Amino acid sequence: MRNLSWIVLSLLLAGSAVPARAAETVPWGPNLFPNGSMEQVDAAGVPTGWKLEPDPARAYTLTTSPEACAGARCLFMSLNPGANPDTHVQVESPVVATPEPGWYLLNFWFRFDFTDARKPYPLFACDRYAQPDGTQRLPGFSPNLFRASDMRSGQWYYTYLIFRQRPGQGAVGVRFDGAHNGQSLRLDAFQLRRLTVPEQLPATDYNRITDGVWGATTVPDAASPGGRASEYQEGRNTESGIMTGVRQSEVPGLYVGVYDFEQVARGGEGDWGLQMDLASGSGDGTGQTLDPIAPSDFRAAGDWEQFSAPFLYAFSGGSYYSFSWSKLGTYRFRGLSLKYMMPVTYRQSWSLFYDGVDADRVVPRGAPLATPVWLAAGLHSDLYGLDQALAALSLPATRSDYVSGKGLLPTMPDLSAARLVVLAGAPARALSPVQQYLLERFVEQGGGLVILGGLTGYGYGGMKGSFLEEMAPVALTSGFDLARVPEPGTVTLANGQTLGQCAWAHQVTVKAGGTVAARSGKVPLIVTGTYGKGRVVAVVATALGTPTDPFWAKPAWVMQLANQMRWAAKK
Amino acid sequence: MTNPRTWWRLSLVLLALLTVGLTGVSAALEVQVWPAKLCVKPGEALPIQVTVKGLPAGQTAAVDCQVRRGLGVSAGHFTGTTDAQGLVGFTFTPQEEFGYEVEAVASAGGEQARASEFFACGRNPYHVSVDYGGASVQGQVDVDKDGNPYPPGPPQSPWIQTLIAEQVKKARDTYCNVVESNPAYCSFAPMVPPAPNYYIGGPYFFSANGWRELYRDLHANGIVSVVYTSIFLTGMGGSDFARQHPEYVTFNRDGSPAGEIDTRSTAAFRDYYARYPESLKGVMERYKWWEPGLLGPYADMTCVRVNCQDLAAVKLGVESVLAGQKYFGFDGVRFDGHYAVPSLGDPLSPVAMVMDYQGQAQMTGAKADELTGRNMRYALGSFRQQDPNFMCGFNWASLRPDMADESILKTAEAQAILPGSWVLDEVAKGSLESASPTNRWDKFIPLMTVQSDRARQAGAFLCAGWGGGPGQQDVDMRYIKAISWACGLRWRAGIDRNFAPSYRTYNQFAYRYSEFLLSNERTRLSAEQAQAGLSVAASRPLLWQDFAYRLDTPRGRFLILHLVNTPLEPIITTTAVAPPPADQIRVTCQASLFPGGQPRWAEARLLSPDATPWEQPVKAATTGGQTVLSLPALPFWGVLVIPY
Repeated sequence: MRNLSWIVLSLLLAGSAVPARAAETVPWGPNLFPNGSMEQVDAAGVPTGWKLEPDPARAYTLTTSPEACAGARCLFMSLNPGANPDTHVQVESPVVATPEPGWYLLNFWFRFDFTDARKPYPLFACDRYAQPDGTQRLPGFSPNLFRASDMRSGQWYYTYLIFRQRPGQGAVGVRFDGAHNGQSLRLDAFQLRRLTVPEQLPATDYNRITDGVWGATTVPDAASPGGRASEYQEGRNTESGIMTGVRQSEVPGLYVGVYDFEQVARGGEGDWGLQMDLASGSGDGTGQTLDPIAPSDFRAAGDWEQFSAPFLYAFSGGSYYSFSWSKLGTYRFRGLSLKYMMPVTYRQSWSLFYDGVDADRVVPRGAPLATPVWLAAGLHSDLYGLDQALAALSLPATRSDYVSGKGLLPTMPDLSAARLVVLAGAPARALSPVQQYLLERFVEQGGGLVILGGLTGYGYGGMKGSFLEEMAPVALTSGFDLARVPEPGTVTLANGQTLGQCAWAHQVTVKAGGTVAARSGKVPLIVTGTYGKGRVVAVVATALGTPTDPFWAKPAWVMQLANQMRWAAKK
Repeated sequence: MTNPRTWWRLSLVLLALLTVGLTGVSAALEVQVWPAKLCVKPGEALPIQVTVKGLPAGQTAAVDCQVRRGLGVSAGHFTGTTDAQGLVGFTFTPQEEFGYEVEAVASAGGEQARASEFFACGRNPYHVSVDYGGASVQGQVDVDKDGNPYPPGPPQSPWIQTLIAEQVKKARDTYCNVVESNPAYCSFAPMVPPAPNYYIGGPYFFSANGWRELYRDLHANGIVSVVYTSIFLTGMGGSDFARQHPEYVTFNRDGSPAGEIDTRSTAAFRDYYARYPESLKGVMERYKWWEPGLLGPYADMTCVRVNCQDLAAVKLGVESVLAGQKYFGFDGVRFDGHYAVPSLGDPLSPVAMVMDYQGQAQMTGAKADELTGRNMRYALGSFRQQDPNFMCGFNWASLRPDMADESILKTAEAQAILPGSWVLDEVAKGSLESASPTNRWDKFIPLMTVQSDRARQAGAFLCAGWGGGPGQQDVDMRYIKAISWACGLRWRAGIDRNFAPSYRTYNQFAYRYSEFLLSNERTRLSAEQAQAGLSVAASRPLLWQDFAYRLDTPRGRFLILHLVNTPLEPIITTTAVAPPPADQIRVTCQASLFPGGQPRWAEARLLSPDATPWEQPVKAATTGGQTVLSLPALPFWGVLVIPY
């Protein structure tokens, strides 16, 4: 896989860009959302068709604001002076008819303004109705949440949702649940468009992920019993269970996910249950769960079935499937492919989706940033004093947080201007093949790398046998490599200085050429070495356990970490 | 009277009186009756307040109060005269379990007014729990205008006071005598807040004062509260447990922790902490759990499973629950995942194949069951040592016949957790999904009846967790509730949603007749037994074959038969359409149905929340060895009760 990635990436880096599908027709119809840009207002000055959910305390006012995302005004919801900031109020859109069954894209922009620490918790939900006039409410649906910690006051964000309207589902409406905690909310540029993506794709499109431009960036699915994402073992599925898998792409764009499934035999007429939940996610942490596929969608036993669902990656991202069953017969699952439909780059995405919108008002989250340090933060990495150590070196950092199943967020920065990469408990498996390749090149050509461990680091992060272990000055003893450090576990530097205690460390073997910078007894805790022109520091001491005098709480530890970073960064 | 707490308590009583009591017969004279508690224990005195309105100035009213249980059995009779404010009170001490109706008749100036209200008596509150809602004060903090927490004590924030009053009122309105709350999440995280009265127990922020006050007020209304907890390591507290005890964390086979990790919010916690009141920083140490903006995301980790093979790990979780109960005053816990080995309890499930920190697979099979039994005996024993009435609920669908055969009842796990416990079948909520094998009534009913048979056999109280789907539309709500109760299930959807108007009526009805709907002393007749002794004819088909029970208690013996007007749609849906009422209903009973007794046909009743009054007599004609009962028309659901 790694060699393949090299070849593919070399081709790419040699000049290839996004695949040449840009000229493809935009596969969606006209905007169905009435007054989506909030230009029309009623006598009370409220955007036509919009209303507040019952607000008996009259805590909020609904009106418009000239600080719009598109056009002359946007919807503006604000707390009245003296009102209880904890009042929970929803704002509801008009009901929008979906004239025929099929896939739809709903998107809009939102902005919060807040002045204190009480950040918003934006949540929007779609109601679904049986009739085009909004009667007979059906169960609704909603996309993933935006994280409060991701929000910046006064910035416009956009979100989207792709969903399928089935026969009997005639309209949708949007409820925005975020305007509490006293902040103001702006909404603008609503669009609802029907996608004209084919429901069925030719079988020849299997495994042609992103048209082969970036290669098949398949993440092996160790959770499936057979150890592979692509096939589930026959004869084992006699009980309820679930199987999940991931396909990822680095290229923003519109995709169609193809799910390939064979139902070998049913367990009995009507006596089985099967559901496939599909989800898409982007590198910026947004995403959505798509409609489940139900048994009624499948044909007779013995046929390979194929389902397709459109995904929109405004940034890079992945597609996830969750495949659950209950007492059915036997089946095979060949897995998920992504068919690349058309490119959507950051700026193109704005213009494609929001004609006339000033893209500069958008915070391009996930866009490459050029900083001297890239800090990839895994579990418990906040304990190591990394911020203080970086501050001591005066090195600004781009931070990426680790999220299970989604890797490192936001996506990897531009390392061309970087001096140091810190993987602080960030799993090796969180790095895509592209990122692995770029990181290895970075170190080989003279960059610095500091690796810290913990419950998601080293062996537990999939480092054994990986490119990271190859670069590190230590070899791992196993995939499950944590061990208690014999008491008292005093961390002693090469110069004899002590830093407090360490209770747990990753068991490693120091490679030839590696230098032990800190140890406890015979247990190496910090090892340094080189890789190509670069320098690598492996901190295998962890902040786990409850030592009475933890090393990570010592000011001298921060200084030691800063020194190691300085050495690695050649600063 | 200037005390705000007094005001809101008064407003609660007034709201309840205004909304709960039935309207009087006379336009001028009106009476309301209000038991102080929704549920009491046998032998516990229950004050009952009667309020008469519309009295001419200076006059009083004569009040006659009847307390009934079962099929109109008189349990108490009180007479009295109101004072000048129209008030008179009685005290009733129930001895028998299950539902009661108290009816007050007020007479004055030649006018008469009548009103009823309902309460229950249960040694174990779960026994009479017809519904299972949630009550919460999360999202509110008890702070002054500068953001500083008020000291421990009754909450001073008017928002919290109002919220508590609303929550208690909702519970009483919907006859939820057991409610679930969520001040804590992870059983292994410290439940006791690190700083008084400003606390987040995982995902939520709230006032500890508010929670304690909520529990006190629920108790004052005869309502108990169990708190949600799970053994999954979640939030900053769970994350720190994992950090302190890596030896108790489980991992997937690829070495990643068996759960979700998300470090994005950690930075936000840190940012917020930097601005936190200095007075609280000292006691917080690393527990930066109170970021008010982070209502939902679980910082650091979610649902990382604990390796409970070592009892020492279990003890840490139990200690946290015990400390939480002492601090908050709740009545028990509802586990969403308990101290099982392997941690999801299903050794066949691929997601249960987890490793310890050294890469060794967790135990499965008989040895795992033995350890699970050990863990749960220890946990429940410890809980009940601190509080003999400690209540426990479990999310455990293993009693379903599509999950296990009857031998499940012999497992150490079942024998440890089931007696006296509430068991949630959360899988049931999938019945609304077209992919579910129980999306059809004819699939749902056999699964649920057998499951509830097993629960009763084990002394547990089974509940179908319907989740957020049903109940907003009248027809689907009636069907889902009626068939759930007919199957022997309790129902759970929550009290914090907008339900169809008949929601309250159905709960009220079920509470009143909980003896016939919920008693674990019932034995269900198999469909074959039912068909051998019964036949039912009507203008349209009725569901009944799976719904025949015998109730044999010192209070009496009864044959109970649920009759449900067959839904038009075979699938379970939230868009059900009302069928035409079933009429010309004839139920033929063979004498063999009543072993060791003679049916008392004159006392037989058809109970139905769709009829007025709920209790209706039935006509019986006996010929030879069989009796034909003629029943009134049935819109949706009726329960035929025949004493013998």
